[in-house]
Amino acid sequence: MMRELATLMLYLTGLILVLRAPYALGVRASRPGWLAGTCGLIAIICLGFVVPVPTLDAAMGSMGYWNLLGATSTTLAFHFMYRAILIHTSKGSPPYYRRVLGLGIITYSAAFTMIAGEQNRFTSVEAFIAALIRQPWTALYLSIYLSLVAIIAALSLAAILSSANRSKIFVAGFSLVVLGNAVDVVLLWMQHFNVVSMALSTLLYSVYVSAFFSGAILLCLGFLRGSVRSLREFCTFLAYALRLRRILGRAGQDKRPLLDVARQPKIACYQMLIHVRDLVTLKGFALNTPEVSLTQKADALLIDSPIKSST
Amino acid sequence: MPLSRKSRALTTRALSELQLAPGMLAQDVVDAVATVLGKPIFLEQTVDERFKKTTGSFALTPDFALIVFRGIDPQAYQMHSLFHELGHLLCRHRECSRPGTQLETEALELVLWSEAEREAEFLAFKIASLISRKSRSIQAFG
Repeated sequence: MMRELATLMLYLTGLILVLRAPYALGVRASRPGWLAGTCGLIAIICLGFVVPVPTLDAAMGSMGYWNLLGATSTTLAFHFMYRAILIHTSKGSPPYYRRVLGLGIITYSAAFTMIAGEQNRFTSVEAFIAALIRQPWTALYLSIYLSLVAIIAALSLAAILSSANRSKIFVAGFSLVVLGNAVDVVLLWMQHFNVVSMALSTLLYSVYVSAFFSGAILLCLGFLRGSVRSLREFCTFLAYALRLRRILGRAGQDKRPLLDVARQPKIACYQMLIHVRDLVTLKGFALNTPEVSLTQKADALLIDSPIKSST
Repeated sequence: MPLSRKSRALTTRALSELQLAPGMLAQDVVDAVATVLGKPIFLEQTVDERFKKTTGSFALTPDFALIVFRGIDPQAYQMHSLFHELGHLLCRHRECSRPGTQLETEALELVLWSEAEREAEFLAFKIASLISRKSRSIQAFG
């Protein structure tokens, strides 16, 4: 099941990377969301389903650092997701957040380096855990990492819940991530102290995988929803702006540069619609039937709420 | 026709007085201009026959400002006319001489592109583009 969910996540994070790139490059507020997708993609690659773990490990000096890279990129993916949520909800992070994040990453990285044993022999995360969980450093490394991710997810959830615009998809996504990681931390310590049966271990691990991955998938879908909506709006305004540009060309007006239209199609659409209307009103320029229909549709698209007389 | 240096300075100062933000609605802009003027602005959408030959106009009294705009125009054009009149108010112009019907003489063309009209029109486009941008909160996911 982990392979299927991780593959779906891979496609979704890849889509976030591609769809959000135009915004992220030009708009500062869009960057955390894009960086979250990028870090998420690295984290999924580190699971070993796309590039085999031994190949990844060899590329990183055969020291087992693929595992640490996976943990750090997951932490950073959630950190950037939290930054995006804070921008979306117009809230600030709690004091000491950055210090706790930095300290958390340093602590679990230090714990990771203390783990004894040849890590290059492992081909998956499961094999790594099964072989080394009895070591205190392994239990510490994994539980600090999972707890840190759970804390960031819980902070994101709190920010969403205290905002006026509560997105159900984000509430469900972050809740599932917190639940999944809490279950896995408990399971890891039970495995460390060898107080869990194989059946219960399998059950709890399944709960973790399904909760964490379905939560992360919901979060990706939540992020993508905004990108798809923006892309659709961009394309619609671009199509209208190009057609209005053609009308202005027919009226013998200077054509607006295409690059200018493509950069801000909504503003270009508004300005060209006003110019067309000026030509009709002030210079008697005649629109044909499809052009009249186009200007009416552009008008409806541009106005969020009509202006009313004062009461 | 580009704005003169004097007009550019005037419109830049007028815009800086306004606290415009992406995602604002037309009514928010009216409220912001009213704050700058220090008096309420009343809007009147009209289909009155006497108002056929202009897209919008304004009147400034000691207690309030009144903006009238032509109700038969498409919504976006009405909004632009409103922003144009707000531009006049921000520049402290005394009147709007923009016609709303076909120009018959070159003289009318000159009226349309007088300095005051160009300043108001420049501000109208500036206001529309400033509020048309996505708010920071929407930018986070799009």
